Amino acid sequence: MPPPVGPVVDRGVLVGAVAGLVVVLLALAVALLTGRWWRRRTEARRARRLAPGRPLLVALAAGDGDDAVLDRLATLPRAQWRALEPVAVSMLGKLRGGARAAIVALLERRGTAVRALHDSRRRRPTVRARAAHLLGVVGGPGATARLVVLLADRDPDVRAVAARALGRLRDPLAAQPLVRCLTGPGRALPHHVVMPALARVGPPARSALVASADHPDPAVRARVAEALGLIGAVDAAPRLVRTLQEDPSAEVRLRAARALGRLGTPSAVDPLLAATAAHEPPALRATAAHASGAIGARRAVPVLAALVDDPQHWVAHTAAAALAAIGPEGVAALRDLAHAADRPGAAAHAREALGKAPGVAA
Amino acid sequence: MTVLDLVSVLVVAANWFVLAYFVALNTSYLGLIALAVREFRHHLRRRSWAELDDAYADPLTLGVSVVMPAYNEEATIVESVRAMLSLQHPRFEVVVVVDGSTDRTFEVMQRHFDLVEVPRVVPDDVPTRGVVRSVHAPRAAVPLVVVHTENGGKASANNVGINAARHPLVCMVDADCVLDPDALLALARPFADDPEHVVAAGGVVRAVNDSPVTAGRVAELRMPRRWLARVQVVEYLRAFLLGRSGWSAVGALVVISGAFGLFRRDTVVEVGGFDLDTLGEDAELVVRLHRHLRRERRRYRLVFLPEPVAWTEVPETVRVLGRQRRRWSRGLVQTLWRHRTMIGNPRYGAVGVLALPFYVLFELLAPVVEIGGLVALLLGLLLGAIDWTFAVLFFLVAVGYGVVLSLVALVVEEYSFHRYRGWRDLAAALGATVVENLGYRQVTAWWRLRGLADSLLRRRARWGQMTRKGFTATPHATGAGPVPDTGPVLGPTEVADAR
Repeated sequence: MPPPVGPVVDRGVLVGAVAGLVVVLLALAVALLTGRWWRRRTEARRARRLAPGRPLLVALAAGDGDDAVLDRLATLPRAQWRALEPVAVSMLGKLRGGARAAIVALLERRGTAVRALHDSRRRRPTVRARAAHLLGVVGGPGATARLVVLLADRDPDVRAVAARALGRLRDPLAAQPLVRCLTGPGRALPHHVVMPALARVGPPARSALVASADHPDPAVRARVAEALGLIGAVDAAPRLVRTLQEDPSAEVRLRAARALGRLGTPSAVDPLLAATAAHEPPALRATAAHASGAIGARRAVPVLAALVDDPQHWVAHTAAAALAAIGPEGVAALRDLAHAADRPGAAAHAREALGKAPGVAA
Repeated sequence: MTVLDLVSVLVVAANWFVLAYFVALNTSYLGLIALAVREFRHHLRRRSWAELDDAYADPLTLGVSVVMPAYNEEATIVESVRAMLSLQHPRFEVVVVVDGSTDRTFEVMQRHFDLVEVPRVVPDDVPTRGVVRSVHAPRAAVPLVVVHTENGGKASANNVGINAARHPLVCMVDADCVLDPDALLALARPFADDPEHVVAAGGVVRAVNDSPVTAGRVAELRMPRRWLARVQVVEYLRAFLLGRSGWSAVGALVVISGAFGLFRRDTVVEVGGFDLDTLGEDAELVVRLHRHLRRERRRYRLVFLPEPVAWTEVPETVRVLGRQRRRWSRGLVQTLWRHRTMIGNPRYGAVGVLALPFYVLFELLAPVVEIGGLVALLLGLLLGAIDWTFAVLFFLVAVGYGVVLSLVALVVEEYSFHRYRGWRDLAAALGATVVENLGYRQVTAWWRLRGLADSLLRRRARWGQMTRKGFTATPHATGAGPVPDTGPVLGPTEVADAR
């Protein structure tokens, strides 16, 4: 056999490569086994630490705990409490009334809120975000003020957690800062995060929102319109009607239509029905039809019934659903449409809507 | 120089090329794993304050239509639908599209869920091939819709589901999958956190073979009994979980599995839905989304989440696995060919200059190089053109480096999500890392090569059929549990809110 034409790999290099590979493989295997062993050990230790306090916590959450239970939990050894605290915090989201107050009292006695206030100033964003979350769950003096500061945090996660936490606290003092997040030029915060928080805070946000209703940026006007509907600002309905009729942006008009549907103001029905006209954008027409149905005005029935025959599927579908939502008059109109042999499209939408209306047979 | 000498020189050159190729391939994977680890750390830190339940109190939570195409799934369909119905989400519906099944998929569902025909108008927002025969819903107030169609293929069934969907987000799920209970809440979260930009979110698909499923949930995760499935556990972990997380980290995710992905309905409709003539319709849709949104100069994001998980039954026989891999290979060829102008094109950002060239070099051509490399190695040894030391080096780079990568994937899993908890599972996984790189990979390369050849020779494509065992039920398996209410059903205009 002739000698190889290709270069021969130096044996020393080869032995080194094999040894290196074996070392890496062994190191990875050790890391894997150590990780598994450590996890199992940590879990077992955590379970042991949880065991004494968990029944007491459950008793407290169930309203069966007296002051003695609270005292025992408040004086649990530090290691046991560190295991139990996340359980107590996670319970809070599911509790109301006295049981919640008892858990909050426990967390206050253990200094959870004070520690969270302190942690909210720490350097690591993870710690600040966790602290903001705790402040929203536990509350306490200074929580709102601190969370408002965190709305301008340099980390986007911390800002979002702070907004959600403020919504959970429902503190009217949070209304202005939250509205500023929605309308101002500050650090970005998704409006989907701010709006639910505003909805929880409710009417105190109204005046700040209305003040921004004429903002030059259509995206801001759209958010303001949406938020006014979410906070239930019924007295802002005339302003929203004007927005629906006059705003140059279709997106802003669509949000105004949806807000009017949420508010349920009867005076909005005619402008909403006007927004379902054929020359309007399909998304606005469908939204306006839905809002008309949500308000439940009987005078909307003829217009909606005509829309059920619309060539745009979603306009027709929404109009039929809106008729069903209006009640007996709407259902009667749907019944007529369901048997209209000359309008097969409308008949199909009508039958579908009737099938979904509670207690109605087509 | 004789002909033999010339052949020997060529063989040596080929061997060096293949060696360099494997170094590049495995190092690329290592880079993706490093990127994925960064993503995982971020994800895990967010867990403690994620508060997915906030979606219940959020009036702007977007509704989700879960679309499940089903073709001959009678063994698992009831369990799968029950699992979907027990998912946590304030506003969702399940749309099952029975795609002209030849078994009793529809009848089994009809009996179990007490289905009755309902008048539902299904629009033609995206094209379909199978004509809708009828639409059914349970007599009880359960958010389930079953669309019975003529057989039109999976892409068509997906499109029927998208047409029938009544919510602004559509979640594509395979009928043989079981989702984590909070899967929808978690997958929908990016749409709430960044509504202006997120158009799709992909979840992880992992193997559930031989793990007990109770009331639609994986009760206890175990490694499968068969080695073929065990190897796929490691493969899915390395390639799907870590690989896709890595791509997502650089904004170049080009595959969201059709088995578990959430999309904005309006954007999918805008690009025309799933392509009816592509075998890899899920990847093709994602690449088309990139193409369309880039051309429109829109700012957008497609994200991949390491959690939640869609648990699926992976093939346990060589025949079914081979068919699946041939199909995947053909799908890849079709997608890359259809969007060939994007490859290496800076206009398409990281997708154009990173992801697609990677898929060409290290996915499409990998079986050619793998099989060609083996042949060249054997030929070189036979001709005496290469020394045994070179063969050892080749083995170290091609197989040893691969085992290291698989082990790294296991270590990352252990320190992040640690789904498998038993020592036996760990031992089986360790064994699978070796089998995956020494035997399995070469065999799958052969199937992928055949898929490539099928494409080049334009052989007729077939979806084939996966034989399902059905999920392993625990002895105390009982009812479906509470069924969540759908809440108000709004039209897709609702999604305008996210603009």
